Amino acid sequence: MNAVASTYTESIGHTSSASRRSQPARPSGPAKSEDTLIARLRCGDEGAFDELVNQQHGALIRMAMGYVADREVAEEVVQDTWIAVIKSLDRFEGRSSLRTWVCGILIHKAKDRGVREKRHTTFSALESYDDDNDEAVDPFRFQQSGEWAGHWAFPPQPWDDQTPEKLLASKQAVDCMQRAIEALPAILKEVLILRDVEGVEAKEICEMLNITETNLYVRLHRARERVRVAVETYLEGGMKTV
Amino acid sequence: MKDHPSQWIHSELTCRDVAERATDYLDNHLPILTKVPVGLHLASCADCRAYLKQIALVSEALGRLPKLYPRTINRLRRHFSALHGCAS
Repeated sequence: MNAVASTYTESIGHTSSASRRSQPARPSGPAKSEDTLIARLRCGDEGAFDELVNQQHGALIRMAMGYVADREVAEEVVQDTWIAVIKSLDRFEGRSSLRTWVCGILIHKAKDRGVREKRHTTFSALESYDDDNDEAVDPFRFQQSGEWAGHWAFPPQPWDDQTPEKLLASKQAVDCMQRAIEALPAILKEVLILRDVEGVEAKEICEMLNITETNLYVRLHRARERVRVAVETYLEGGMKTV
Repeated sequence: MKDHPSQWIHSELTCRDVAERATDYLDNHLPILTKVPVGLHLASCADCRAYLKQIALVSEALGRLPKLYPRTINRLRRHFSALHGCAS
């Protein structure tokens, strides 16, 4: 499952985290630009189609990986999704955003393919996952009893000199994060990919996945914590070898 | 923890409570009655500040992961053009 990045043509996509985090309720700008994109698609504008695919392909691949056996199958599912989008474009009524609609098709096809491939572990993980289960942070890291119950027993060691840029400059750190994402249960992976990797607004994610904001934030925090632990393990391993 | 004034006034947040709310806090998803005590705890707890910073860093790094583009876009374009015509 490693070295999958070499199967794709990659370029660095820069997303402004400030713009992601401080997004207000959807303004007319983005909605208008989506209307324009849809109109161009319906006129057969190949450039518009390229834009749409480039915008969403990464998220679809990562989400499909939560439901199917491997990257090859995920690619097939996403290809099938794009074909379905192309065929159904005239029937898109605009009741949801284009992205929500495409993701809905993907999830349907990925789940169907996962069942056909008998990926019972994935499905059972999906169906049995309970938002009320367990805490995100390993309880072992906190004092269990006594005067300081609930306070850190094993606090995180500060990453004083770490920045997103430094992490992303390290292929090992990037691989570590990619592996951590791929190891997530599907329902944690979906929200992490949509919110953090793709920068989709919370409300749109809730609509897409038919979950409440409470569910979203519980799952998002659990997913982020697992990736944080993976990065922590990687950094501590690096520090030990210095 | 219920967000009722009586709970807010008398309860003290532990690091465990704050850690569980880190994403809500960073994404500004906490009601004010929880946000204020979390902020007060963070002001005096270096360990929780370190934890929050790590969650924020991971979230930001995830947003900058290399994008994945399809290698087989030409085949998809042919499907698209066949069904919707070519405007260019």
